[in-house]
Amino acid sequence: MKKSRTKLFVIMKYSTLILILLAMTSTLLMANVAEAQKMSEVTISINARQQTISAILEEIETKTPFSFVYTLGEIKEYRKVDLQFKGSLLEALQLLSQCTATRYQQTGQNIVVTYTPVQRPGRLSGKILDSKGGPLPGASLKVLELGQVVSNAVDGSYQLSLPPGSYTIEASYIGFHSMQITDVKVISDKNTSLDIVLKENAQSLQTVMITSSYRKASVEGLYARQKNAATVTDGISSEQISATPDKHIGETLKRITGLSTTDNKNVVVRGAAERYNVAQLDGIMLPSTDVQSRNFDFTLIPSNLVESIVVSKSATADMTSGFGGGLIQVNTISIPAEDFFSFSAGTSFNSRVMGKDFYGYQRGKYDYLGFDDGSRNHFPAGLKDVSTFNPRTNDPRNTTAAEVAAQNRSIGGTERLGSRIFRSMPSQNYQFSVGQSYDLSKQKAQKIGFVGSLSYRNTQGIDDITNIRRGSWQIRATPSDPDNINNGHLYNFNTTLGALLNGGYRDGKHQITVNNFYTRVFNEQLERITGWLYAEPKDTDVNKHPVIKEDDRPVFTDLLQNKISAEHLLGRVKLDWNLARVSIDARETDAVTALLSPEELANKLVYKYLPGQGSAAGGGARLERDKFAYRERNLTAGLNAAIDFKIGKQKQVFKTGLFYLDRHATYEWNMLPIVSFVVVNNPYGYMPVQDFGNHMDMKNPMQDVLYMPSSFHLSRYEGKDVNKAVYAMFDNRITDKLRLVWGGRYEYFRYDSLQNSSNMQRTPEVTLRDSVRWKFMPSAHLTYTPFSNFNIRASYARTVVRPSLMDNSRFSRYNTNFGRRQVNLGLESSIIDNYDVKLEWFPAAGDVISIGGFYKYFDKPAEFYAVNDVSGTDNLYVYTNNSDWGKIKGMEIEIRKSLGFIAPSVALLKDITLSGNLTLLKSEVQSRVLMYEADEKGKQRSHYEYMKYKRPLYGQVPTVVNGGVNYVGKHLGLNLVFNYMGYKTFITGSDPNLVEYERPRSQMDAQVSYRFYRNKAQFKLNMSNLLDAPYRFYINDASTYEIKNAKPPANSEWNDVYKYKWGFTDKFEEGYVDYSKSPSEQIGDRQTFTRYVGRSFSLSLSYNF
Amino acid sequence: MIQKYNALTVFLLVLSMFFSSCEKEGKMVITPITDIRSISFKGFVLGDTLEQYFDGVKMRNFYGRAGFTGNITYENQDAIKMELKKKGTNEVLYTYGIEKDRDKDKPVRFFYDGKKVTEGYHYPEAIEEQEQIAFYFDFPAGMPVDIAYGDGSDINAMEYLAKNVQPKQWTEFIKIPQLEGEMYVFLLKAGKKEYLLENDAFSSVMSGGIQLPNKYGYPGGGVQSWYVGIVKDGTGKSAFFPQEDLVALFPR
Repeated sequence: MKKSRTKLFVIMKYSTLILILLAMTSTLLMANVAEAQKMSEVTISINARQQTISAILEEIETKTPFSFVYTLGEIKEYRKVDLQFKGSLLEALQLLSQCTATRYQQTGQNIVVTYTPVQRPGRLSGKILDSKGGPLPGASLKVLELGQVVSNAVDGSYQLSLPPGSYTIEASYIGFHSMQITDVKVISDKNTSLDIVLKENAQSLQTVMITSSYRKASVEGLYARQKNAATVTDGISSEQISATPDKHIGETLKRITGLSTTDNKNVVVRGAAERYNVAQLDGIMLPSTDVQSRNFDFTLIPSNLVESIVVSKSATADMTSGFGGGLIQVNTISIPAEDFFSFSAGTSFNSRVMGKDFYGYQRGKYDYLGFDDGSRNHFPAGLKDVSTFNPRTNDPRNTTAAEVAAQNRSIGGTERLGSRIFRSMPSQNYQFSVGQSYDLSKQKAQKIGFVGSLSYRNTQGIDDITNIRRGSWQIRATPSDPDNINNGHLYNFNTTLGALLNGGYRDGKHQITVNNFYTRVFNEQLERITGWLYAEPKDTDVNKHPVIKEDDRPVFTDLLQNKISAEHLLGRVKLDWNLARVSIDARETDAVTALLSPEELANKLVYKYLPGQGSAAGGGARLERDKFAYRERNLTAGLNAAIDFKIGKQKQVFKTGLFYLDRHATYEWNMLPIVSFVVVNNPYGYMPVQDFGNHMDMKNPMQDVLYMPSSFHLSRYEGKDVNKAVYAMFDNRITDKLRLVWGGRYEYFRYDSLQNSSNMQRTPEVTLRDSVRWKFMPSAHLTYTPFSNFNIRASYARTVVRPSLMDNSRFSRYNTNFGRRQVNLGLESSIIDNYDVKLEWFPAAGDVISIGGFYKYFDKPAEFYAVNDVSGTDNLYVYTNNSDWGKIKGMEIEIRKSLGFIAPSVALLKDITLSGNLTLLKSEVQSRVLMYEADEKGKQRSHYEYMKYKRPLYGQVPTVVNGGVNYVGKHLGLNLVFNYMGYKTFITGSDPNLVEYERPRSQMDAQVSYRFYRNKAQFKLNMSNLLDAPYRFYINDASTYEIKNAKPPANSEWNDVYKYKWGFTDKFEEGYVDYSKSPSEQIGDRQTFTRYVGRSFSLSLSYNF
Repeated sequence: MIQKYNALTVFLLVLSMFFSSCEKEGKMVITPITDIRSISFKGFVLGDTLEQYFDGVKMRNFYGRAGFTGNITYENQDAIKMELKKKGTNEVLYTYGIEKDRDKDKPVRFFYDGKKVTEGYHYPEAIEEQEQIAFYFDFPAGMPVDIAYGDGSDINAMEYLAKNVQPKQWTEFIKIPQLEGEMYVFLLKAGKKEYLLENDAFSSVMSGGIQLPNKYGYPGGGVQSWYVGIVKDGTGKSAFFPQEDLVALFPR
């Protein structure tokens, strides 16, 4: 393609030259014949409307003695024009020349036409920084060739609009050596990025000029940003993101050292699980998008709106959010460096979705648009407890049939219930983005601008659950009967709408920006499992056939963030402040759980929806429709001031500030068990569940169907917390090579439950609270730079991870992720002492080789741990609670290296980058068990018993490996990424029979991108999860261990009594089948859950207008 | 103009894909059962496994005693085709049309003798004061038995009904007159004075309901046809199971 275009240009140029030569030759020949007329002497009248240039020239030829000589291809490319004129030919052609890009030169009786398109200006933008990476606001920038001078903005950034060409740029700032950068190329309609690093001048105000080339200066800018972070950080810039085909930052995060993602959605930092990581958007903490556990869904933020992502792994005193793994700071663009207007559309196919039936409950009319059409609204205000209704007694205190009928009517029918089969559709996504900026004064760098974006995405996913043996499902496999298996699917229908509108003003001293981010997600997840229940294992009689459990969860989530922030340069004081409001509103409306019973007819096996039994609590959880509404509102305010001063020759910075965060949340639940009191001749089995609503008038109370909520089915949680902080910190340059950033943060935290009802009839007490309101969190980060491209870092920071508000709710619910009911025991804040050492070497721009070690001590780490409420039954819960303490120690290695060093003359090698990182860690926890006892007066008391034996911390992944090879050419981009995660402690517990692990998993993704149409269009092909490796979980089954001490002492733990059998460890061992037993038995680890998500192939096309 | 045209084309393509995706109702997974009737099957399958199909859909396997009591559903049909196929070869051995208005109290009967399916099991007429009993042992090859009766106290006092009976073969109907007292049927290792299972009388007695005529109790005059299988229990011990009297299964 490229070759043929080049060839075409060459032919056109030569043909133009030949035409000119021909014309000139013919002029010479003609000169001998007669003297030519002048164009000014020939008059002409033209009335052309929407004519091509060639048509107008042809018309002129017919009306004058002149002939035109031109290359048809060039002229044909030009648009149609209007030309109404009467006068000389010279004036006519001048007019034509003005409105087109054509030029005319008379040679005798011929006029040579040349086409010289007008070039639009290009842009030069970047930052002026000091050698430590700090911005130099108010520095001046001069374009020597034009004499144009501008000042940069408060954040050190500048932007110039220049005619295409090659320039010498001079940057200067008081107290710094001025710098001239030569050979800076500005290309029409393009932005040239150039960060300039000025070196401090020991002679103070004396100006010394340093000359550098563009390439060298740009490299130094990149170095400065990488090297000079105060803490152990990693990140990815907009330039690096733009070289990837990522759609949202869930895909981008895994490219950062020490980070791995779950489903390209949730992030694991240094092996620390999701709840220990905090997400910030434009400096404001984002609430959890998962109501039941602290987690943020990063797919909500489109990649092309991100200016940078910085992951801090150690904290400084000015950081507003506590974290244990990492703080993921996502910054969006407010004032664009160059105007843009882009549209992209894409589609994707998943190997486990296409051509398959897609199950779901009745959809709303606007589900594809992400809006609720109201068909799920069966939860009117003022629902009442009707649990006392009993048609078998005549107690006047009981709820009457008439009252029940009235409530049934207000709730409405059951038309939406029951699963349907839909056609699977490929996923589709569209995004429209626009950015504009306007220079108010080029001299003062006054600028306003805005960025806006709208995005839409619909995805349909089918996860194949090939095995589930946990929770309420039968856990024992029978090798002699391979049909005795529990399996099913997880159907995910997701529509995501996103909107972003940022804007701002900045000049040399001030910057004010407004950030608005909104996303709406409609996600309907149906889990449909076929199998045998724990309480009803497979047999050849009544439990010959499996049951089906359906769990349908349609959730509408709105996330809105509004923020206003500003920076002011007041002399030597840099002041910044921000105010923000973040709200999340997650409405799970008409969530349905249903247990379908099999009936073997002679000629078919049928499954029946049945109402629960009215006399059983909650109807026996057979059929229920629920509404869960979560609302959280966060108000944030921050004020920071920094002043720089010198001690000796070294620049020092003092920074102080205030922080305020107010969070308020409510969670309301309306759970409506659908029951009947019919005992014999139940008519509902063969009736469509959609018709149950026709039998709710209670005229036949013993047989009719009713919604029968108890008071605990209709209740709510409300909580709030306040977090205030004041901090002070110094950034001390002790010597040229030694830097110390240190300070302290004094933080106040108070949590209050305003209402905390339970939805279980029997629930453990929520007991824990933060007893210490004020906490002091010191931090210190030392950086020694023996060479300009080498850092040795050591740091300490104390951080605190606050519980999310719902972590203290007494609400509990079956969690499909855990396969168990999740119950909160209450959480207090986890205090973490973080220690880090790191060696960093930056051998070239963009390259890094680093090795680091870290140690973390968690005081009261929050964990998910499993308990068996009633031993030997399926009453399995997952408690969220604090353990006593935990420790993690680990190391990480990162290598990112361009292959250009192998043969610098080979351009291809420079475009290929190899990257890889390895994280190894080990953890242990002092766990404890909450014990209850009654004193002499019968009053219940609780205390902790501490376990003797340590175990790994929840959520830990001891080994994480990332590797990749990336090629970014002028048009073609190729990227191959590999990720490996080792064993993960998924749920902890005091007994191996309860502890669940995730087995190691590898994932490989590949991307191919191609830019074309003058690089305005880009085509991307993403291939994800190429290995289609399953997510596999297991438990060290009781069959793998044996008693070592038959008479253990009192308060013995598992390790005192048992040991693993020969050949078995806590790692996964499938084991063997013991055929000596009848029926034969599997001796080995229990495979609790296996899920395949399929390979995805996505195509997208984007166009920048 | 061309750009506008391209933009419009892309927009229309997007729009068509977007709206082609919209589907609200879908197809119901659980369809209502509108016409349901009682039905029962009774049968016996010998020596092989048969598969039962309804309108081409396999429902169950039969081996040994075959039975079903429950409901059958008709969906706008007057009759449903039932087929019995030989497992493995898919050979249709029997086809039966189950009419919608058939007598619901009359079970559908079939008997497979290892070669063909018939609608009943044929056995001789009763003879007064003489019991007629046939045996079929569904035992592994190389496990011939002697059939004897006695009170179980002394293996040497056993009286033989048949000797060296090979597995998977019917004996003839053995005619047994009234005995002096209540006797039990035992299986012995062929040609040996040794009980078949564990050399234990209790384990080797036929206890599934077989009756021998005697002068003081059951007078005889009946016909019995016993199918006897062998299984291992949970402790690894063998036992005679099932023990089915085909005459009782197929009454005249």
